Amino acid sequence: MWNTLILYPFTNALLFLYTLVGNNFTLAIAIFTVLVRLITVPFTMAGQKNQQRMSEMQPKIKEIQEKYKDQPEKLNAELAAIGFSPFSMVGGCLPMLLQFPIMIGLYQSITHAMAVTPLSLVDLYHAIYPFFPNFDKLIPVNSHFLWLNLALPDPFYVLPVLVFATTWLSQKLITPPPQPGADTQTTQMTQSMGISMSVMFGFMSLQFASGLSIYFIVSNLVSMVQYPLSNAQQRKRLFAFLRGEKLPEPAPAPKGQKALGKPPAKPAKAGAKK
Amino acid sequence: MKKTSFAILLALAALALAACGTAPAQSWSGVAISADAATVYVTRSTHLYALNTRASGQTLWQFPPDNDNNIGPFYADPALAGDTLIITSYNKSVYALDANSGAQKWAFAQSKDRYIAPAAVFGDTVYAASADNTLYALDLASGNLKWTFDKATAGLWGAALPAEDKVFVPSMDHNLYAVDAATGNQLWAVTLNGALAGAPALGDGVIYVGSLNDTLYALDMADGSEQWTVKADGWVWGTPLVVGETLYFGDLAGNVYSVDALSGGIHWKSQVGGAVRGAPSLSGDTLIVPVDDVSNGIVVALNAADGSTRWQKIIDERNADRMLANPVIANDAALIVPMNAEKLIYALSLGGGAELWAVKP
Repeated sequence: MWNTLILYPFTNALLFLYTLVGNNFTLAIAIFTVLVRLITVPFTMAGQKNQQRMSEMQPKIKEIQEKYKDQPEKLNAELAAIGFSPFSMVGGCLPMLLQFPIMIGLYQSITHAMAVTPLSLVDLYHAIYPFFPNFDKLIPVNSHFLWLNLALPDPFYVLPVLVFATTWLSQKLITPPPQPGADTQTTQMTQSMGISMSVMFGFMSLQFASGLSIYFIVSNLVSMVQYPLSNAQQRKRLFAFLRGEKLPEPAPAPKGQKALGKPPAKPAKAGAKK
Repeated sequence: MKKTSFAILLALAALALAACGTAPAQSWSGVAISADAATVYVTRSTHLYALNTRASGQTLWQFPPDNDNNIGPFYADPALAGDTLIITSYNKSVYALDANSGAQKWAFAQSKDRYIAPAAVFGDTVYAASADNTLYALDLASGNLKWTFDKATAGLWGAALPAEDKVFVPSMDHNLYAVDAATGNQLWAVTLNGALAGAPALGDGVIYVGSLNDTLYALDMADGSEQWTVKADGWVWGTPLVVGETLYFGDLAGNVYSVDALSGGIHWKSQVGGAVRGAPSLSGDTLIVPVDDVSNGIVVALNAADGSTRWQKIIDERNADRMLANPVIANDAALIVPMNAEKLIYALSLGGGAELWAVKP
């Protein structure tokens, strides 16, 4: 099932792009990444809107939680009245969840298509569609680009650094700005997750084929363009960032709200123009 | 709380890395049999095993003797030259061992990439074809480098074939090179329309080599000129088996062919139900064929005269999933090495495929 639905189509598409771009596997991965991101636009847009909505609802949710903390039934009714449900929170994670099978499929198809071991070459034979034009002439796939062997990790660590930097930057740009009165702890967790994700993907790039790092970098660059294009608020954040202005930080918690962990963050600065 | 979430994230990252991390390179085993068929040498990832075929596969020795994982992994067929066993490794090294004790005689570690191809030995020279596009000619006694041939533009996956004063070098760059055996200078090269992943076979003044463009080529040893070709239905990877004036070979589309070695005329073609990557082996008039259907390890015995099936057997149905290694014949048994099977090697009766013995690594 996995092979039929994900791995084989990805592998064939990658190799077909490889033939179209003059046997340049790096370019094929980059174009393929952009195409995959375009296909997943409806999912990412839905997730983004949900995330934005949740962010805007945060102060209201906190207020209701505080007000009805001893009346669970009333609390749930009030939360439902403003359109909040636990399912909508899960929906916000959908784009990220959707990315994982695609990422794993792409990783497998990259190693599959490059076929640097005899076993993977036998498997590639079975993966290629019979109507693929002149497939025999493609073997072996050229997996070298500049100093890179795309089947192996980057020996000079350039790509892992780029993966870390672009992941961090894209997380920073696509995360909706914190609303005034938003839960400080939640905001800090979001920031912490951004750094953790960047470290995680950077670390993965140290271990994995550099072809996958190309996917990460292009994917992050696409995110940085895609999200601001579809959201005026984030477009402003991108332009503010490009102008070198500081992006808004969490607003202080309302009176009476106890910020867990660290003290409340400073108020948003004027740099973030509205 | 923040620390907890960070720890959870790190744990998830570790889990993801464990699940998708760089797995150890995997391939099928290499197999070789001694001239008297008393000892079979089998590689399985980190080790090479010498087994006594006359004592139900009793282990004679293993290399490395301990659990040193830095020497392997070994996947290529070992090459036997007198009492010396040559084995190539994915760790970019060639090892010469005492075939009787497994003691290391020398190691050669100048390759810049893995050795996928088995070594070939002719006279006092070892020819080690590397995935770094280079053929290394080494002194059999000392392992000292004699010369290199580095004109190929892609990796060498198939073993070189030394014959008379030449060495024939198949390359993934679609070329078959003929090299002077004394100097390593190129004599000629012929471009075939597909990568050459397997070793060529030697005929009477003719070289037979399979290509990944679904073709078996017969080329003149002297100048590489094409004598004839056979168009197959799939990639021809395994080394053709030359028996007198007949050739036997398989393709990844699941066919086995019997071909006239002089004209290329097809005697018969038999569909065996799965890819044939390895080279068939012949015992009497029975052809033993390894068949890979991607979920099982299957052995098929064909009548060499007409290609009809005599018997077939699925080995270790529970565990074995691939059948890509070459089978060898020892005494009255076919020795089979499936991938990921519970046992290392299975000895099957040539008569009906009954299991005679099997050995755990």
